Amino acid sequence: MTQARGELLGAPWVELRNITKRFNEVTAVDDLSFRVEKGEFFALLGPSGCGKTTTLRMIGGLETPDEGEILINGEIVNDLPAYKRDTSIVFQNLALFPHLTVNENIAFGLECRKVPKGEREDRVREALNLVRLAGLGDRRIDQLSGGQQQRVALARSIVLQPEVLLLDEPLASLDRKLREDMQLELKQIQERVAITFIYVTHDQKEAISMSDRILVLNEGKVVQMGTPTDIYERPKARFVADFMGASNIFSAKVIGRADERVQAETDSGLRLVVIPHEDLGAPTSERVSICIRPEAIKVYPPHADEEGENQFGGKIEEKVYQGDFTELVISLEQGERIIVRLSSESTRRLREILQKGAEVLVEWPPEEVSLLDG
Amino acid sequence: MNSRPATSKVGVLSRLFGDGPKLLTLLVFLLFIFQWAPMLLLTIFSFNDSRFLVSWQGFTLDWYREIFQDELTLQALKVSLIVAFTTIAISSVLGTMTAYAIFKFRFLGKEGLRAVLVLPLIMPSIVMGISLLLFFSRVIKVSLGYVSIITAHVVFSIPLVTFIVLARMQRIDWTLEEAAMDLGADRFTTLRRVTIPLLMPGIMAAAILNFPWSFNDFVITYFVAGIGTTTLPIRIYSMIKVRGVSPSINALGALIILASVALVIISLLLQRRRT
Repeated sequence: MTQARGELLGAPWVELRNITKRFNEVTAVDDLSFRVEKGEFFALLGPSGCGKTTTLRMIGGLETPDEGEILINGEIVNDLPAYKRDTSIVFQNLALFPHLTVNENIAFGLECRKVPKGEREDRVREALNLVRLAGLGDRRIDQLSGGQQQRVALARSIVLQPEVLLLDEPLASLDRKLREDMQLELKQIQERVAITFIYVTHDQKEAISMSDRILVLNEGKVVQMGTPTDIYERPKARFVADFMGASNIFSAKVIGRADERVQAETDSGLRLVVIPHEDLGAPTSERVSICIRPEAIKVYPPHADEEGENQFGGKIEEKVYQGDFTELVISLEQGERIIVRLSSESTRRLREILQKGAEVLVEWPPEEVSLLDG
Repeated sequence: MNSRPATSKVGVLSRLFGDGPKLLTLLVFLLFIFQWAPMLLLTIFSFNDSRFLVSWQGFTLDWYREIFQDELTLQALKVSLIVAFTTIAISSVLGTMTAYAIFKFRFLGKEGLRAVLVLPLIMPSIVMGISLLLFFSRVIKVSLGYVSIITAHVVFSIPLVTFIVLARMQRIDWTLEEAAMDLGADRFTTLRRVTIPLLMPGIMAAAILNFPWSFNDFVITYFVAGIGTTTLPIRIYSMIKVRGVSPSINALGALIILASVALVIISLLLQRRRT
């Protein structure tokens, strides 16, 4: 693993400052700034067209930003062409050279750098072992399966020991089982070789399971950046909550504040108290969304005498038993339909009242409710 | 079909071709015979021990011997081959460069360039021949010979190469060039190690088509060939004019047919090897 050259103490490995990129009238990336630390598995997450692939290509040198600077290991690389940058891209369509064998594909970058033959062969062999394709070196690309081609593309990039590995939705074309296996493998490989990965995806599950930190993008702008836990449990904007597949998102407005406690009322009249997480601060607009995860809602028998805020009466509309948890759709007096997920322990405890049509009392602990922008 | 009146054009035709496959096969067969019969006859009579193409007088290889001893014919063959291979070399390079520029770059006059390229393909050969003759003898005052013939051939060969390679370029995955650059290949290395190998099938296909275009050309070459640079088609023409149709011409024809068939077989084998 290459030792960082001239590394400033605490300097990020990759940094984007105020990057803007326009294609004709469309602004694909709008004043984007973020930092990636050395050795991180960093995900760029967002829907199609949000600018994540364009950003990746700019880091790799295949596109030039219209404004802003890109720094790799402290150096501004804007003017460095792709073939001089120490980045390597794993393309979405793999872009393996069809006229070369597996070995020749992997050796391509090494040959461009004039690595001597003996060392080249050793490194190619190592790379093949790393991606578990030992012995397939002489095959032609069209003789390999999708998953195998995927690994060749990865090996081809990793063998160069780049400072940053850029991956553009590399698993998008694989079927679900293979994709999940490869996610695990990719993560293991990344930890083994300790290379900084910047990974573009539109699949929030993939991002959560693999990354150290996630940057959520929409329409070329940063929506939220944080660890998977931050993004999933403490979304700051409705877009993020929606995108992560959260349930129980409702439009509301703020009707009062006192210390840390915010009073909000949903469009249908449901009043609650929210204690926003310190990270968020109170949103600046009065018009907000509130959101609570299905696992965080508590369920009690109706008329139970429990201490707690945000208690509402409701009726069970659907019950789905999933083995290690039970999912309930409950409609509240005020009309909202919420999804609640009960652990198997709670399911057992509440067994008698868990029937379709039964009345229950639900509680939304104030510190579990998220207050979102938008 | 019974509902259609027998007198309507549609009705008659559909009844005639209704029996699709059989009729089609028959048509193809007839076409095949019509096309190959003259050449077959020519080949058969090239072995005929008689000056006349009337009856079979016995097997002989005399006519072939005559051809191989004919200095002028052998010289003409040499000229044709030199012209053809030089033309292919020059137009493959220039044609590929043109195709690359048209496909990849935006520049003033691009559509004009495309139109100009089509011109040699649709222009009548006589017009081409005469204008080139005037150009060489009056305008740039170059004596007619290899230079004038090869230049003329290159003029109509470049469009051929350009359009065939352009078609091939539509089907290439250009992210391969990006991948090469990302891996460390500069523009020239990318061209050498990725782009050209990928374009090679197109360049080869163009070259294989280019050969008969150049080798067989008569009209244009007739105008721009000098005294000492007679190509094979021109030689055959003068042979006929002088001696009448001699069986040695049959022999020459048969040899050319053999060479063409061999070329086609080779290119088919090459194609199969690639895919």
